[in-house]
Amino acid sequence: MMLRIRDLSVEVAGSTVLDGLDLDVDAGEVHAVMGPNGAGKSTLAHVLAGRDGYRATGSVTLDGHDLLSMTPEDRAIAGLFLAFQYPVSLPGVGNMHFLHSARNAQRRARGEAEIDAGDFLRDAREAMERLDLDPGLLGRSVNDGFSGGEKKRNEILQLALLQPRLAILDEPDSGVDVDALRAVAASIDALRDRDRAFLVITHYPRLLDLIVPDQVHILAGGRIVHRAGPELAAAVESEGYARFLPDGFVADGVHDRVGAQVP
Amino acid sequence: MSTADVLDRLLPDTPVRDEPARRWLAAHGWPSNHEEAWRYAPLDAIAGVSRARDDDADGAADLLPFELERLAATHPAWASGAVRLVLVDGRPIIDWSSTPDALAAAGLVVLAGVAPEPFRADERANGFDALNLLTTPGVTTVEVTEAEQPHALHLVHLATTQHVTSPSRTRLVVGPDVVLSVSETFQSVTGAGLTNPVTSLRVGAGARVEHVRVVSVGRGRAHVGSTAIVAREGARIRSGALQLGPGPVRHSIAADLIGDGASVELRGLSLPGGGGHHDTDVSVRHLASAGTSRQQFVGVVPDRGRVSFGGHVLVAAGTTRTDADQQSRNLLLGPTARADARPWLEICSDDVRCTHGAAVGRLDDDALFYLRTRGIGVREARAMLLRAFVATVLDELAEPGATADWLTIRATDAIDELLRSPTTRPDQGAATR
Repeated sequence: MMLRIRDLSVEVAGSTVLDGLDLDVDAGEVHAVMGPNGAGKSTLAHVLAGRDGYRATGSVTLDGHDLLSMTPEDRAIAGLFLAFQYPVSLPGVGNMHFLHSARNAQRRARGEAEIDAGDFLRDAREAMERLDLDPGLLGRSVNDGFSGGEKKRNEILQLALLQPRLAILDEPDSGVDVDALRAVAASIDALRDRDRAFLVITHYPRLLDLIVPDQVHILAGGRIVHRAGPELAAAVESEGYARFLPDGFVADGVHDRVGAQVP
Repeated sequence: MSTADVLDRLLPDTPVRDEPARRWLAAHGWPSNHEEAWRYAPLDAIAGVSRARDDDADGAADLLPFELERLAATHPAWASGAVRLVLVDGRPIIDWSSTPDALAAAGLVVLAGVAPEPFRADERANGFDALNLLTTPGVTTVEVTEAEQPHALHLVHLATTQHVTSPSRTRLVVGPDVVLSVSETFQSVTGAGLTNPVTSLRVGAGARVEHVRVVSVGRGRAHVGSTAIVAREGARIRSGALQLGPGPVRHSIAADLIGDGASVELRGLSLPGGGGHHDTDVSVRHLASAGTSRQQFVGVVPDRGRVSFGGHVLVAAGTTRTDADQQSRNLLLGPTARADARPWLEICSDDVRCTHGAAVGRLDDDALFYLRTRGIGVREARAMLLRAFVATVLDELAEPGATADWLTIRATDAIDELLRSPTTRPDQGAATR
């Protein structure tokens, strides 16, 4: 198993956001985590990436490495990548310099030779062409003044250049028009590989028409309450979430412990 | 603060040429932190440095050629072949400056040893200016009158002496419609002592001046300098200051817009070393109409360091269409880093647009996290964000060119040193639990 999450509970500022979550993702698979707003989807993404400010218990392993004890940079080196829902602007940090530094930081940490700027630039240009991204964005500051679609595609560009084992895509459809979404979905499709897994986090079922998952999980009340094949996305699209939530579950009161069993 | 003992040491036993300055200094001494324009100034540190003995200072003159050689290896004045004037403790050194022919060919008329103007006991009078008047070997004036082509000059100020001040006094007189780019660098050869230069820029109608001032102050030395700008009708002046090093630094800028439509842009970047305190005080007086002034002062403050800024804007009665803005921004790099800002707007006219703002912040946690999720270690991530912050400030400080490149190198070196210092070592990456 590539990613193995057992009994993951997370508190933020004293309130429980994730509550005994279990999830397994194997190499070559694409998993989608869906759920109503406030279900804890983004918290899951940030906890996996190592953000400060969360109190996490339980166990998370990536290829057998204990993820929760690692720094964010060590998680990246172990093969984890998070495509942010809201990519951060870094005025004054050149995009090319940033991408090159990231790639080389990971290569160094893995004991591989650094890649020189010329070779890297060629790789970056090729990946940008596939993503239909303006090569001029390499000369700009990271995400600074980028449109919503450009920011999201810049995330996928990083994904393409860093070649992680596990890519977590946090709401890749938010703030993106249909054309950009198709470009993002096509790029992700092209990066599917039997050695790589994806965890797609979304509340928008139609995204999963474009990125077809192997398995869909419904997250509510801080745990997975339902899981099934790709047809689950269509069911959520036509019927909403209510049918998949346990009895007595209040959609916006997600912090109550519901005690539901995953079927 | 009692300054009598310090003054005894700093004042030479030479005949006093400016009796009013001597009397004023005897009566008032150095400024105190009770005075509005000196509230945050590191006066105790300056006095402490001025009292200190430097046992190595006797050899300073011998070190001078080496220092100059070191400077020549990197300074744009040597690299680009632009004309330069080297002043040692305020005295122009012909051998190390561009030749008189080269200066003349560059359209610069240089006069050394000119008698200073008499001391004026007005509201800007202060003990350091009086001290400069009493100790300077004379005013170095540079006149530029030819408006046909742009001019460039590098002023290189070197300080060597111990226990007395290094009091250069420089006056740049810029004729109508002249375009001039001038850089000033202040370096010291010995550790101990006080550098207290005074530079004045008198800018004629329609002239354009780009001024860059770089101060690097090592431990055990202090710098108290001033820049006075007078802008006539339609003159445009851009002045940027870069301040580096752990020694206490005070820079006073006084700008008078005396002709209609004049414009003054003042910028500064302070990068004090650990424990250092840099203080900037700006006084802009809009004495004519349709003037524009900008103040943008930025500090990057390591742990135990301090950056302070006081900015005064006066809009005189009877003037119209003034546009003045003042901004101070500081980035604190540790729990004991400190920044102060004191805006002071004095507006005696209705027809004005005056804005000001002050911000103090730390490196953005979201930005750090973003970089780290890409595999970039926390130290490198912090370095990238710091360099980026400084780069955006430097872009505004000087026109692109050799001087701007040199500023970037100096600032980047300072940032690297700052990142190496144990007091700014970032927190080790905290795991989630």
